Amino acid sequence: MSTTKRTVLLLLPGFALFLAFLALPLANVVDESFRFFEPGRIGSAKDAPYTLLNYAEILEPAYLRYFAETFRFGVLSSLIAIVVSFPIAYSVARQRSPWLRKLAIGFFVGMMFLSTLVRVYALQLTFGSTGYAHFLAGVLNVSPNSRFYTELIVVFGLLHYLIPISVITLLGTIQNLNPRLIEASQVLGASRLRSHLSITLPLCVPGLLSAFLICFTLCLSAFVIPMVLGKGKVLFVSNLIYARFSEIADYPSGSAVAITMLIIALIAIYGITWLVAKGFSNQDRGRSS
Amino acid sequence: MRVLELSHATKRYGAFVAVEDVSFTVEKGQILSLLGPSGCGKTTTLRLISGFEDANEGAVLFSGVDMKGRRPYERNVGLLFQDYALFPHMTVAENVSYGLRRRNFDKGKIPVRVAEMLALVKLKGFDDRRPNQLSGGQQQRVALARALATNPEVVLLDEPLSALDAKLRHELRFELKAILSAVNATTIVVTHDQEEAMSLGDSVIVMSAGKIMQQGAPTEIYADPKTRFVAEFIGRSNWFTGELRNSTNGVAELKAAGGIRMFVRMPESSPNLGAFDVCVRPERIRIGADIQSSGDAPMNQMRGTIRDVAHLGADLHLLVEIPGGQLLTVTEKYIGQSFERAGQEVSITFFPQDCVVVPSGS
Repeated sequence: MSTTKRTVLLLLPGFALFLAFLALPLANVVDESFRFFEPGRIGSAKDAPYTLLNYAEILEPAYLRYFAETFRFGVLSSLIAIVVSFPIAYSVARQRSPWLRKLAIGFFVGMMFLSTLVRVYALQLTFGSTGYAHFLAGVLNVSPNSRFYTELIVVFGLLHYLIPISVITLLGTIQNLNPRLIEASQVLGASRLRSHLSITLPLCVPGLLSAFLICFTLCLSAFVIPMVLGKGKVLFVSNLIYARFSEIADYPSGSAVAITMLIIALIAIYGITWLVAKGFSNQDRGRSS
Repeated sequence: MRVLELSHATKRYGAFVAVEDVSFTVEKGQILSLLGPSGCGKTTTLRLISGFEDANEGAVLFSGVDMKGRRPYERNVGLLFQDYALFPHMTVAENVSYGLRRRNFDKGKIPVRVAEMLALVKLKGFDDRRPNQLSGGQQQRVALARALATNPEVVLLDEPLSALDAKLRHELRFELKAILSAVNATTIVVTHDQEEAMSLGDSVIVMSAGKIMQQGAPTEIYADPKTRFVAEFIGRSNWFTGELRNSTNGVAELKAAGGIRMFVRMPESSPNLGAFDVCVRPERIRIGADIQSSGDAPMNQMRGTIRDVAHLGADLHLLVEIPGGQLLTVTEKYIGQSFERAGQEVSITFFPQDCVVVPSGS
């Protein structure tokens, strides 16, 4: 048997599994999203006609708000997450004591094992009327029941989830950075801040980008955080999809929202990657001229 | 002019003393080599000069000015890293101009200076290349151009040749020296490689366990080591241990193990007789030649048996067993002589002045 044939054979089980349980169900969702829905039914009828109605519905302002909200929280929280994570990851990566470094990495890996539900209720307790962080509402001079305060708690909820992941993502990038580069920069007359801005940061752009994209993707699919901490005031597309499927059993509409979200997310992720890559090559050309 | 001075510099990390009471001076345009095994404190000394570490005691002075508390970017030092540490996201020209831009060099003159530096290191026309498009030797030249561009007061080279292969190392050694003297750079070379230290340095400091063991010209360090450590660290040597006696006219007699008696040069600094180690360099021992001792000048002569011969192109390395069972390493220039690989009886001779006496166990 040739090596190619053997390779194909070895790939076959994985491929079959992928096809049967990932690709086909997704195709099912795509199919469902184009079906006509009769109110009162559970899902579409078996021979329901095809229609674009489910997608047309999404253009209504009530639906668009969910998308805008999801992206607004996603971008904001992901940006805050990488800004907060970078210095943490840097200090962990450059920690001289191997014992402390292992402890720190263990802490962040451990954080990722924490159930989202536990995080969410922990934060609710902390920011709730008996929690120690309750004073924040007073400091910010807002009502604990205001929309702003609720949004703030949702952002904290997302950050609780995103920061450990982005710290671990950035850790690899920073560890691969030769520490001599910063020393070389300082010897050449750049202050420590200046060295980080012109050496560390540009060299970490690919890592920052992947950390941002991981965070952003996780935000887009966040469900429990907005549901519990958002108290019905902050709702993400995931919550909308859940409502369409589970509360009114309108599977075609839920499917259409899900597919739209998937496409927008893919466009956003590829768009951001492309823009950053392009910006990078422009910057290079600008410098050498 | 005294450009750099270390005065009783001591650096501790907790209980560990990395550098202890190190003092030396470097004059304008001079090249000083700091030589020693890893962990001897040479790299810490380099970091004290560049400003990444501050001495616990003592001082680092640049042209008489104490550098205490001055950060690396507040000093004007050129540092060539062992791995070059070129900025991978910048072109060659950007790497070389980095220091000029950071030190607020006249903007209009930067391109001229960059071209000048690239010409100096023979990399004209490489301006727009990236570090990863260059060979190891070329990368080193860029790093050197970058380090010299700001006209630093002191240039520090950290193991400058050790990352290169043997052939390139040979070529670059002379070129490096030529470049440094072309800009009249005051230079410190830090290395564990004795060839690198001796070939580049006008003066060599041998360090061990944070302390200076000996300082002197390369030839002096080699020919007249003051301790067994220095003699063993630099070059190969044959050792005899024994009692010194009958010192006359600067020549003493050594009674070594195995019944060996030999005449040695009496060290000026330690006239006490007693236990000493004696070092004889392999190339100072002659095989088979019947050297007539002139007048009363004593001469060391013994019988030996060849145990092995290695041909190394220009040199022959021989292992000779002498009475008492000790094996001596002998190096001869290869001029067509032939020795049996093992078993041949030979006579070996060496002069008393080639026997360097150091305190026993030093």
